[in-house]
Amino acid sequence: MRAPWLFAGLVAACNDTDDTASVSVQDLEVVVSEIVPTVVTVTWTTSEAVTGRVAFGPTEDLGIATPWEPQAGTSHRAVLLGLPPATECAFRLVHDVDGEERASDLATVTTGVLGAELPTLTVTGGGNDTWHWVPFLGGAYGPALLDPEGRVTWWLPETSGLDVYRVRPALDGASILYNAGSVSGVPADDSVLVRVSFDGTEVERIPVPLLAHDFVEMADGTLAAIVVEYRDFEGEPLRGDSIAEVAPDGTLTTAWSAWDCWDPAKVQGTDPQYGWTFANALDWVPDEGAYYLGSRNLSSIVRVDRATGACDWALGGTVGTVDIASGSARFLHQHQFDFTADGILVFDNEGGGASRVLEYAFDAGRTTATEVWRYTTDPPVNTFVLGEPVRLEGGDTVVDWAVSGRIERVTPAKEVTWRVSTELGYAFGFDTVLPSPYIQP
Amino acid sequence: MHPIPALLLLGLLPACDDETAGPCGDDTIAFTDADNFSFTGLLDVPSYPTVDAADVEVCWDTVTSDIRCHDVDPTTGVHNVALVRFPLLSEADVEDGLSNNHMQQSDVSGFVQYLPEEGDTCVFLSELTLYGTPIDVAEEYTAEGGTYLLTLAPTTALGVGTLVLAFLEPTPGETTTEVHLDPGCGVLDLDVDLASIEPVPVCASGPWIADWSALTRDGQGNGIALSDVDSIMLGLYEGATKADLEEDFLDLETTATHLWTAPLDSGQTSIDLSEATDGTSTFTGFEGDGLWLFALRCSTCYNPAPLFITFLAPTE
Repeated sequence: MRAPWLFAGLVAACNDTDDTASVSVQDLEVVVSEIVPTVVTVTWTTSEAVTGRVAFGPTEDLGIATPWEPQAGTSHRAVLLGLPPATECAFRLVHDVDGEERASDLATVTTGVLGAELPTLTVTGGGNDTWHWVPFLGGAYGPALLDPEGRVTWWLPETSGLDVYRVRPALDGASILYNAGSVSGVPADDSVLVRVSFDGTEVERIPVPLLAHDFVEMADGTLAAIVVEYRDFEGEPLRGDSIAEVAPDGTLTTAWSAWDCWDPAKVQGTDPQYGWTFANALDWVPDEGAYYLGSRNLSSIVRVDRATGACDWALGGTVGTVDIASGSARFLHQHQFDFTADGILVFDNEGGGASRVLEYAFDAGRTTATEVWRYTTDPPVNTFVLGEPVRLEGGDTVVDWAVSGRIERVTPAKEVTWRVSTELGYAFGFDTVLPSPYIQP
Repeated sequence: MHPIPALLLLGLLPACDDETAGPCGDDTIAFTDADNFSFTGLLDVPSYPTVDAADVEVCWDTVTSDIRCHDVDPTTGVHNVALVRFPLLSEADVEDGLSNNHMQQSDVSGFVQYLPEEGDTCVFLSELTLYGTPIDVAEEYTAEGGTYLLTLAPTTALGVGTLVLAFLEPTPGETTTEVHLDPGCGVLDLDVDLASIEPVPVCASGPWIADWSALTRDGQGNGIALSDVDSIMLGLYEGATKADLEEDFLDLETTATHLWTAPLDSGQTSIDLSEATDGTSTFTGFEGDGLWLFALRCSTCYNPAPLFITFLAPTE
């Protein structure tokens, strides 16, 4: 096969000047990344200051577009994200000229292939429009991006020997973030949060010892992550949890500790062989200034006030403050969750005979939760680690069955309209679901 | 609006590209399903009844061969012991799924592994962990739990180059607490037809771009997942007949007079054969008389047979 850089070289060698109707385009370069060969960087200059973007896709219908440049200029750069491997893809430059979009004719570029360690994915159904930043676990470890058709369009193996549980596009619009740690057995001292530019050329590894499953990024760039925190209890080290924050300047602080909210002598969880609280999911709600933290062993989802550290609200399990209505199912050893307009979806790993998603509606004061929907995949699975539900606009739900190697999109009537499954030996981590490869949820 | 430079360029690309076709008129060796060999490869995995809901010691000290019938040193050759639970599949279902490469992760409800140190030849199930987290054997290893598949592998990487497969059967009333696994040879029942392959003509002089993008079926007639293909093999077999190769099918790598291989990236569906190497140098041409065999291999498939095999016929 022709090496990706060779095409880029030919582009440069054969390049010339284009005089469009109102914008003269020069110095066009199209470079396929050697590290992530599905990522294409397009640079060009214009004779006048305009804002630009690139519309692109695997067919001439395009379908994807880079975000508009934030300000007008004559030097332009766009990174095309979400293209399938080994595919001749189409793109066109788009400029905003006095409020009017001016698009060039179509051009093409051929992407390269991704790593051989990737699993074979089986996709059924269709009509899906969501993108999935999701790690692979098992036979391959690392962050990936699945397109709406279930194709791997971005992949970078994590070769440290650490597991990857969560990947998110960063708010800088130019990179992704993922965690690399170990949640089973002894947590890793050398765990890291990793920032990688879309084209894979820039990698920053931020040491955060004892990382657990999940992390979030705040608007100011602060990263917050669950970490394991040991303290002595009855003469023995006991595994609890805290939330560590990495400020934009790199300062690492502890924002909250489970030890400050609860006393293990009074609050006891299940499965003490795994530790005490065993936190496994983290969300950040900026409007509330609060984290929502999932604790597996307490089977509770807890609101943590970032300013005070108070654990002032909890759903389910040992420390629950919310009444679960009579007749509503209770969850056990849950993982991720997703707040809806008036309630919450919970990935219930072990509360039923098989793993399932439970949806509760809250009353006005969020003091009572009533089960309003549940979903179990067919055939049922036992997702013993991880798992995440996401409610989409329009009412469909994406369910990540994680270590069971399945992601589904289901309607409110529980019809599966799209499913992607891994081959034996490969699992998914948490699933960050987006309407575009570029947008943070 | 005028075309952008890239579009102009793309029109110019052929002029910028001075590649020329080979003397036979086409550099590409385009394989089709009709070029593929045919075989049936059924795994007959041995079962070992054991105590139910209790710990079992599993030993591989007697595993002296793998499923390809290649020799194994049990004290140094095993680096991964894994136990996988299938809650809804029978042993026959699992054998069929492994034989035909259609198992999915969602079939699994539990997975634990052990990474032996050199010299280890036994492990208790209670020593297997989910990446460091032990299991409660009494709760997780039960007759009601499903089908339990034990695998031994030569590397720590899960599922690569499986040496031995075995079912452990927790059985109420059974008292066996120690299992000694049988050698792997004999687990795979192969019926191979290489004789019917019509060799694919290739130009004796290069370049040689092997392209398998049009394949839809593997040698068993199952739908082929091209992303499963992770290496190619090109072998010269001097003085051998197709019948000889059928006889030594599991030793195609070792019986070749000269062998070149090349790893592939995920989804790669073509390669310039000059990228293949014999370990010291790259392939330079079809030099030598004999059978030229080309194969697409899958190292993570439990069935060790290549997904595609054909013969090449170099011509001037």
